Amino acid sequence: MTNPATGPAPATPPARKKRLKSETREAIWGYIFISPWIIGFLMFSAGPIVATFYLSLTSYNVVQSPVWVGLDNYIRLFTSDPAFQKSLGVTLEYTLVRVPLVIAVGIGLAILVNKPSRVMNVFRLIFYFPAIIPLVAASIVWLWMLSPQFGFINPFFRDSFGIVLPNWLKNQSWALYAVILLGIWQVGQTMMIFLAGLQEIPLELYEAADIDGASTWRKFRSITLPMLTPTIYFNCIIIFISSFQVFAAVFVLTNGGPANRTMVYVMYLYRRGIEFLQMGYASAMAIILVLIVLALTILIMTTSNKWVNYDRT
Amino acid sequence: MTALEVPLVERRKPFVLSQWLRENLRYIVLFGLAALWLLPVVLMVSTSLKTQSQTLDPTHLLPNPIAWENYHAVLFELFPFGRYLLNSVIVSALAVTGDVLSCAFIAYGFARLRFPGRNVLFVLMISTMMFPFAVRMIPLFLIFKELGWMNTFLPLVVPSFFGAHAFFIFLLHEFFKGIPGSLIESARIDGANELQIWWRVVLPLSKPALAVVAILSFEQSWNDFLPPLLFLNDTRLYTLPLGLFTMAGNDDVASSWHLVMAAATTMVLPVLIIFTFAQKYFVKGITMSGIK
Repeated sequence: MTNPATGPAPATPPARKKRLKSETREAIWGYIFISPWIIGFLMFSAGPIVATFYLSLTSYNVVQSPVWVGLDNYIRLFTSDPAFQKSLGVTLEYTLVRVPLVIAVGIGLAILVNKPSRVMNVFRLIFYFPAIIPLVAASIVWLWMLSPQFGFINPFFRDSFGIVLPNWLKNQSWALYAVILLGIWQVGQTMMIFLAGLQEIPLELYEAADIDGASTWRKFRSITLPMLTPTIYFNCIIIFISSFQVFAAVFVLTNGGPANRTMVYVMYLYRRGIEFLQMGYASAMAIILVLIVLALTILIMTTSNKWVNYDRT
Repeated sequence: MTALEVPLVERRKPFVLSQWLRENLRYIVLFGLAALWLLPVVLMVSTSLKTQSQTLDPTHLLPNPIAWENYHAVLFELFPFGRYLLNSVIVSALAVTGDVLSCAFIAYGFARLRFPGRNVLFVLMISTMMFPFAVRMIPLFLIFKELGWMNTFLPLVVPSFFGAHAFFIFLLHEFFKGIPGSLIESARIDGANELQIWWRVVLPLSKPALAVVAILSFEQSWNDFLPPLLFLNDTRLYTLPLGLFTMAGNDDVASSWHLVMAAATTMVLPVLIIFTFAQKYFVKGITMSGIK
């Protein structure tokens, strides 16, 4: 009390206490607000992922409790399961064909509709619309389009030009590409993202190129494409990850056939786990799927600085 | 110079085909491609209105007479698509409600409140986006079986109420961070607690972002195929994708394409209606998810 140095002291402790209290209160509210996520995370996300890892080290058929087998499932997958290796190859082929095609068609359409006018809005809607058609409905429509007798494509070419086309979905060489075709038709989302990317390219660049007398192709190569690389990169990752998990389209269109030609990874996993109830084995496949997706995503990310141009402002 | 030499009455340029082609090339290509892109949709609707005998002539575009009764047959008589439609509406309505409410709730915590461990938890949440559904599929199957939730809508709906879609939380988090702090501060000074601030200040300001999440959530639950396939066996509980898949997998599908297409159109129509009314939110959803 008498010490002048401690004179103002009584005023500070309550203030500090109050601040501390409000911090604690904010933290408590914070935990209250994220608590639904914590429950959901543990029950529907982290818990199941850990469980999948555990199950992948067991043999489990639902009826009997899981039996520890160590790395046996993984060893079997890589040494004595040709169907697994085939499904991996099919998925890789599907992905490697689909990603560049969807990117190319997406950029092409985006450039075509990138002009401010009312008519262009209509074209944008037309190209975008198939992308919001539910995948199962879209697959069913293509199932009919591609069916040889009462579909559309084959009868049309037969009646108009006398050309006999293959039975796409039952044909070893065509089935996988017929599935990819569906993905190209549903390119709308990719196109819209590219369109947004195109609209961010400064017009001065093109004006400068016009003064230099650059050709259309030259402008595309030297301005559009480099300036679009961040968008290409983003789309690549998204399409890549979704391609590796393709399921519904294949399930509806070919059901894995003909002769496992379109037996993609997740479908084989579903067969083993849910249809044959080999849950340990299927869990090992799921873990490998995560590792592959993770590894390839990291690969794309680490190589990005070699080809992605981040200079634009 | 040459323009001056041309008499006024003949100012119109002579029609040169190659030049006309070059000027309108973009539109020629666009019309061709647009026709290709629309063709499957047009054929879906036109086939859905054909009688069975007309489906034997698949390249004939216009149905004559128009068989509206196909829809009645698919919805109520030969197939229970009325039931499937109702199931889909129930599941989607609940999933959208759950997603919007829970993701907005959680996102507010991450965006506007400070607490120890926030950044770590946020990164953890973002990283769950990397894991494919297939990785969680088998344990979820076992968990829901254990809980007795098989053959109910619970597995399709309950996770939505617990922030199952990290991406939506992320979208709303970005949006909430942009709300001026002064608005929230002044509400705090007025004595409002966080729950009141969230409900009365933050949510009303975030309607566009909430609409985007609602649309994305609807699209997702309306499309969902693998989860209903896993968790529903009872055909009376089937949602539209499952019903449609089962119908098309039938052996006599070749003789009932008109009905299959009527069912497919039934599934597409609600999406089309919502798209017509909420177009700008669809587009906003793409740019928000694409550019951020």
